[in-house]
Amino acid sequence: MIWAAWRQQRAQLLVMAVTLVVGGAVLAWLWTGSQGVIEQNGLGPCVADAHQAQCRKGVQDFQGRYYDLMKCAQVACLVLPALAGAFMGAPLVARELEQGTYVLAFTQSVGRTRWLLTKVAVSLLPMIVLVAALLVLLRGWIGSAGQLGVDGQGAFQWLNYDTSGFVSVAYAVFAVTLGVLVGLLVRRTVPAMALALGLFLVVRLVLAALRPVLVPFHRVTGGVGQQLAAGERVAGAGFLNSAGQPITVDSLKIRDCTETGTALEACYQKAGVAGQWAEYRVAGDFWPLQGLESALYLCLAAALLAAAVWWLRERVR
Amino acid sequence: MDQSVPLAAAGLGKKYLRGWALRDCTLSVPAHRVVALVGPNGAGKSTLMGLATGMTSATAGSIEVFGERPGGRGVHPKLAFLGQHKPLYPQLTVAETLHLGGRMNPTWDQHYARSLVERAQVPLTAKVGTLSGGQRTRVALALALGKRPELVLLDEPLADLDPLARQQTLHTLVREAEQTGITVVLSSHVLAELQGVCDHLVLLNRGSVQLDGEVAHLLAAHRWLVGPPGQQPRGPAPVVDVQSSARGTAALVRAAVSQVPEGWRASAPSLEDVVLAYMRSNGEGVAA
Repeated sequence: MIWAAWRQQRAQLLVMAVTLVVGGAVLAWLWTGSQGVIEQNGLGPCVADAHQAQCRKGVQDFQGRYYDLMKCAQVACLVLPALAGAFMGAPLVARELEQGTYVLAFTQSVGRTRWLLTKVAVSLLPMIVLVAALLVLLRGWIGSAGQLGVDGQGAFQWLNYDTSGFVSVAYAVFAVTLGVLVGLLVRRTVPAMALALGLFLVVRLVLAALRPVLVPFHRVTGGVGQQLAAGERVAGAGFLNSAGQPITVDSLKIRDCTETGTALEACYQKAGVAGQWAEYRVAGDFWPLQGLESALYLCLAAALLAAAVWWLRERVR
Repeated sequence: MDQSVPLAAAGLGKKYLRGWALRDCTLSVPAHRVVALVGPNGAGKSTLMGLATGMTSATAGSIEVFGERPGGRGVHPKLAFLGQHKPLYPQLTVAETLHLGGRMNPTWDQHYARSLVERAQVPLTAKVGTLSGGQRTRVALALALGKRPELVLLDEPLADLDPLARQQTLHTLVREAEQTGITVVLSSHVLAELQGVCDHLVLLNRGSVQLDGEVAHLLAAHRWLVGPPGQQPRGPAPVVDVQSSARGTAALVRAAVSQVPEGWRASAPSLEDVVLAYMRSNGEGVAA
C-alpha cells in the first residue's frame, strides 16, 4: 500500500524534493552572503544592537541589500502550508473520487482506513520534513543577522512569529488534513483545491486573532504622562477614565495638552482622562504561545482526519 | 454461515432516494459456475455487485460472500471485482498496475497476471491511459484474476468493446474459469453472447429476482408454441408471454414436450428467447 501511495503521488513528491533542494540552496547562499557582508563591514557588534552610533552607515547598507530579501523568504515559507493543503491534500482523495479509481482501490484487500491513512502519511511526512528543513535554514539565516535584519522588529511581528518556532509545521499538517477532508466532501479536484485554500486562510486569520485567548497580553496601567513599561511588542494602548474604565478620547480635546507634571494631568482631566493603559507581549510569551497554537492546530488536524476516516467508511459508496 | 457458498443473499434490499434499486432479493450462487446476471438497465445488477463488494450497504436483508458480510475492510480475499467503468490508474504503466495488485492483495500470482496480459498482447511498459478499450479490459481482468480469487464479479465487462474484443475477452474468461474452477458472475444485457458460455442464469427485473436456475434446466422447462393468429394456447401449461401478429401467435410456455395443444407447433427456445419473454411479461418470479 505504501508503494501504491508513493507511486500515485510521485509527481508531487518530486516537486517537494526539488523545492527542498532549490529553496535550501537559495537560503544557504543568502545566509553565507549576508554573513560575508557582516564580517567584511565589521558589523559583528551591531548584530546584538543595531542602534549604536557606529552601526548607522553599515546597517543602512546591510538592510538595503537583505531586508526585503528576508521578507520575501519569510513570505515564501509562510505560503508553503497553504500550498501543501491545496496541491497535496485536496487532490489526494478528490482525484480518486473524480476518476472513479477509488472503486479499484476499495475492491482490493486493503481496508479504507488503512488506505486513507497510508496515503495521508506518504504525503504528510515528506511535507513536514520540507517545511521544517526550510524553516530551520530561514531562521538560521535571519537569526545570524539578528537586529540588523527583520528580527529588529521583534519576535512577535506577525511574519517573524509565523515563520519561526514550530507553528508553521503545525499549519502544514492542518492544511493537508483540511485539504483531504474537503476533497473527500467536494469530490472534484479543482474546486476542492480552491476551497481548501480559502478555508485554510480563513481559519488561519480567525485563529491568529484569537491568540490573546491562548496566552493573554500583559497589561499595565498608570497615570497620564507616566512612561508605561512595555515589553517585546505593544499590542494596544489607550486612556482610562476616573473609574479605571478604558475610554476613547477625542484627540482634538487633548491636542493642546503640552504642559508637564500636574498641569498636564489637569489638562487631561478636563477631557475626562484619568490614566492610561497598555497591553504588550514579553519574550517569555513566545514558546507558550507557539506550543499552545501548534497543539490547537494539531488537534484540529486530528479531528479533521478522524472525520475523513469516518466519512470514507460510512458515506463513500 | 456457509463458507462454501460463494455468494448468498437473503431478503436483500437497497433503497436509494429515488426508490428501491433492489428489493427482497434472495439467491444463492453455486460454486464452480459461470453465472450470467441479466436484466434490463436499472434492474439492480450493479447494485447487487456493489452490495457484494461492500461498496454499497444494504437497506434490508443480508448478503454474504463465502459466509462473510462485506464491510469496509476491503473485499473478501477470495473475491475479485471488475467495475463497470474498469477503473485503473491512467498514469500507471501496465506493469505498475500489476505490481499495485500485488501490493494491495494478500494473495497474488504475478506470473499468472503477467501471462494474462502478455497473452492479450498488451505492452507492459505502456501507460494505462494510452490503451484501447479492449486492452484496458484485459489489464483490468488480469488485475482481478491475478489475486487468484474463487469468485469473480464482473459488471458489464463487455460493454464498450468492439465485437472482436468482446469475443476474445469472453473466451479468456471462460477458459480461465474452466481451468481454475473459479465461480464467475457476469452481468450483461447482451444475451446472445452469453448462451453457450454461462451455465447458470439469474434474471433481475425491477429490483427483484425473476428467474434463477441452471441454464440447461431453464431451456428444458420452456417451449415456444407457434399457432394461428388471434388465439391463446390452451392447456395446463402456464404462459409466460404471448406475441401476436397477423401471421400467427408465438407463446413461450413452461411445459414439458408432450403438452402441445392441437393446431400448435412446439420448438426449443434459445436462452435469449426465454429471458426476453420473462422481461416482457414482468410476471411473478418463477424458479426453474
